[in-house]
Amino acid sequence: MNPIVEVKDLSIGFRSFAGKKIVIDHLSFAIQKKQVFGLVGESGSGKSVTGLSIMGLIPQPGGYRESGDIFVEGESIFAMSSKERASIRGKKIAMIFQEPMTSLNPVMRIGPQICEVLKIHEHLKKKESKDRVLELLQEVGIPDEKKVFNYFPHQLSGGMRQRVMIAMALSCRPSLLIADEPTTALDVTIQAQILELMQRLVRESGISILFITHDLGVISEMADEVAVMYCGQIIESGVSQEILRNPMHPYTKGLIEARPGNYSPESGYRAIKGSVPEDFSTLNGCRFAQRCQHAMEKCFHSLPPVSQMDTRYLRCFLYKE
Amino acid sequence: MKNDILSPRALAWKKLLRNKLAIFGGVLLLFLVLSSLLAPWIAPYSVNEIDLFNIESPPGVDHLLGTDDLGRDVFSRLLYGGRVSMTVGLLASASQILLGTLAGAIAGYYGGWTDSIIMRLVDIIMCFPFFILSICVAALLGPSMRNIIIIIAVIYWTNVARIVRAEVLSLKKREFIDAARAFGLSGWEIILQHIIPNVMASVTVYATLAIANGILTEASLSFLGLGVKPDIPSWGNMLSAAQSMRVLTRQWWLWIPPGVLVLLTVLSINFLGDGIRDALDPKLKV
Amino acid sequence: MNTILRIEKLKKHYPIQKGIFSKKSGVVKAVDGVSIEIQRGQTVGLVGESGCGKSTIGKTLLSLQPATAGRAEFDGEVLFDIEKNYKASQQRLMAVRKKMQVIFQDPYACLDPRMSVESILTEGIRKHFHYTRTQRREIAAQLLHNCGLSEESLQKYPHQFSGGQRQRIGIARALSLQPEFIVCDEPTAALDVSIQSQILNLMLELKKEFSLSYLFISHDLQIVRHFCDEIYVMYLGRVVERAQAKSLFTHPLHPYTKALLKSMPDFESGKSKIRAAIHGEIPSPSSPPKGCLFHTRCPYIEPNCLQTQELEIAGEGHWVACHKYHTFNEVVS
Repeated sequence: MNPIVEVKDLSIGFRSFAGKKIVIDHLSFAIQKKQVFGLVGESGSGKSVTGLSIMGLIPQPGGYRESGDIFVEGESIFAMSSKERASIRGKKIAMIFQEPMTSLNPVMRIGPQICEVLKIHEHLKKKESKDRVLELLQEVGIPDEKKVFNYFPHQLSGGMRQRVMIAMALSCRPSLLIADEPTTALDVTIQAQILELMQRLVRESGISILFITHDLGVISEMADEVAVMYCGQIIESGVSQEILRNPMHPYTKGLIEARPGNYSPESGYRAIKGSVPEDFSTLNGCRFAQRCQHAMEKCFHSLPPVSQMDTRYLRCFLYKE
Repeated sequence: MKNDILSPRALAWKKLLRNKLAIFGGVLLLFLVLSSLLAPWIAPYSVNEIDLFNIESPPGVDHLLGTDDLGRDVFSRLLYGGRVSMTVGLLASASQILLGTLAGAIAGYYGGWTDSIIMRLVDIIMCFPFFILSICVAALLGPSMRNIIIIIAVIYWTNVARIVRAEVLSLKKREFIDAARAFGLSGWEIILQHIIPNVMASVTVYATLAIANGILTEASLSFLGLGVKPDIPSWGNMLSAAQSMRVLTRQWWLWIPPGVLVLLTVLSINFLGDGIRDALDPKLKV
Repeated sequence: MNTILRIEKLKKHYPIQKGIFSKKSGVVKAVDGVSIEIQRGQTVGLVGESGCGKSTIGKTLLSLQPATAGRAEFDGEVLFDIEKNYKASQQRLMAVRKKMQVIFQDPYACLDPRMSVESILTEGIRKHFHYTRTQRREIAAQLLHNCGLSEESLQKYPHQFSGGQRQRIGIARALSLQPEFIVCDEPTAALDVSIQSQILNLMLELKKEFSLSYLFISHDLQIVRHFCDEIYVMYLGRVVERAQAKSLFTHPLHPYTKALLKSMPDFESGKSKIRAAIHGEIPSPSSPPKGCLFHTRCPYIEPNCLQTQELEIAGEGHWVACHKYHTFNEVVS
């Protein structure tokens, strides 16, 4: 089976007056059809840059591709012209963000905003596109879609705005939806509603989702496969239930133990000591070594290779194939 | 990375020094300032020294940039003229910033009635056509350097006040202001210790533009005969002395040099100002 | 045990102004009759979704905003009593401010970017005590040490720290006046999971070391669960349930609390069909529903839910604002 998106050995860096800085380091993963692929990591792990790069939008100024490639349905996006790349966005891959308000034009009504996407990509007539938009709004669970069609973004609540964003993302029937922390800004009761909607979309329309989040609880409920990122690298990846039930990498273990629900009176809240290193390009060894309880001498000097164990990929010296 | 002890100011310096255009502006400006400061030593003639044998003579060996209709040396007058122009620019800019920052900070921080009164006053002043107002004031008080500075400051502080107020409104919502209030700091203490240092970035940029604007305003007011008295040289009234068609077509050395100097000064200040703006913007890292 | 903070029937209404003449066209009832009691040494949690008024309560307590109605008493000193038209004088308020401090949510907005850590930490000390510069520096260094940062940090500026470290500086600042009570406004909401635990542990340690009491404002039930002794659940400016932390999690009574608990992404359950626990949106606080505020989303709605329901006692140390909680809950006494 051909994956919808395949990231191969991708490295992305940023140039600034302080010099070059690698933010994504030899990343490889693939997203299959009808799959929810979770990308977990803390801030600064490079998970959002990964999402944007798949869209062909390496953040500017300063962002550039150091090495590797991204294939969308078999085609390299770096080999494409910028026009071709633009035509993929929205049509094959769509993206939604944490804060829907910033991605919506505040002075344009909801309906026409979505119609515009259809006009650009599908060249639909006005009447057709309006019908399509109403259908979409209904599909993402917006009650009273005819009224909402004429609303301005600020008249909607956060949850409704996120639904509108999803409708917009789905308007051209893309095969992959990249969701960058789509529920982080929402209240829990609304978050559950949005997650339910996304699950239904995968089930009914067969779309794949790249779900980027820091929340392991959400990943556990949503994802089929998961990749845990730390400092621009995937340190552990595989089937999500297996990894979350039986984490092997000390960082994954630490993250799972650090959930506040895991408090015990004896040991308090389980924290990972230290903090994410600011600039990890200069580290020779394992990126996590400084914070790792099991770090050995060699962890500081050489980078552990990726090893495969059944369905799992792991970057740690503690385990041998 | 060696950003061990880099205060925000040191970081801004580092960025500014990497901006070639800003450095160019800074060096040029320094040159212009120094040459007018050192005018008594550089200038070959004194300001009002009249050379009756060389009236309206073109640039030559005796007079580097020629002489005017009274036989005064244009090059010397240019050097001295820079003093007036730059003083006006600097003082006008400083006074409008002082006035505007205080008014804007007070209006933005206290809000309510205070805000309404100050901002309505700003609206009223902004509604007056600048030249009509300045002509009236100059006519009433008489043309002088001090009056030009007062006119510019009184009219242009409104711009600063608006910029500062807008910034204070967003600053006020930041939590460190609440933290200071929870410590029991009074409104004045918060304005002086937190608000003003934080708006200085945008105010500094405005200040450089205001200096340039002040120099231009002095030139235009002097050109209209409302500025500095004609016996004191300034770039503005040197230009205004060259109003006749005859001078414009035949005696280019009377008006091109002061014009070029105004242009260069304003341009160099603007380059420097742009550089400072970029350097102080924490989002711009390149 | 003695009470350190008592709030009675606190209300905070914001007028909605429209048009150029600022005509008052309605009010937002951000906080609408909330009573809270905190014992010395206790941590009380205030939980709710955005717009429920939990942060507003913190701000009125700290006198950063005036209350519309109600009464608050801190450590025997009445802060305000709107009915009796009483407000503590500036002088008295200054004495209270020494004992009551605050920790904020946003580690980026809570520190003045133009101040060095030393000036940030000594700002309050300069205002309230007369120490020499060296003494102040010593105190600041000690504060940093207490919060797990090194003394070298004194000369640095906020932008040189990570989010977690900034939050530590924020906590050190709150401790600088040796307070007895700290309002914590979502102190970990903006932090990464691994850092969140560090901060929570630090706060627990400090609580023990300096015998502090906390009012912990949060939207995250998971955090509140073990951190707090008593929890108040708020919805649209009102308290819907108040209980000891343990009993709230084992026997939630109000349908809203139940929904909140059910909506939390559950790590253990694994991939399953997610069922949103409740449907519908949170109503706007400018036009709240009549009667029980939750009735628009409640699965157990019945006609007399259109009448207002005050908190009533439902068990030992457990209060709930619901007409019919006993019909769908097994009451355990």
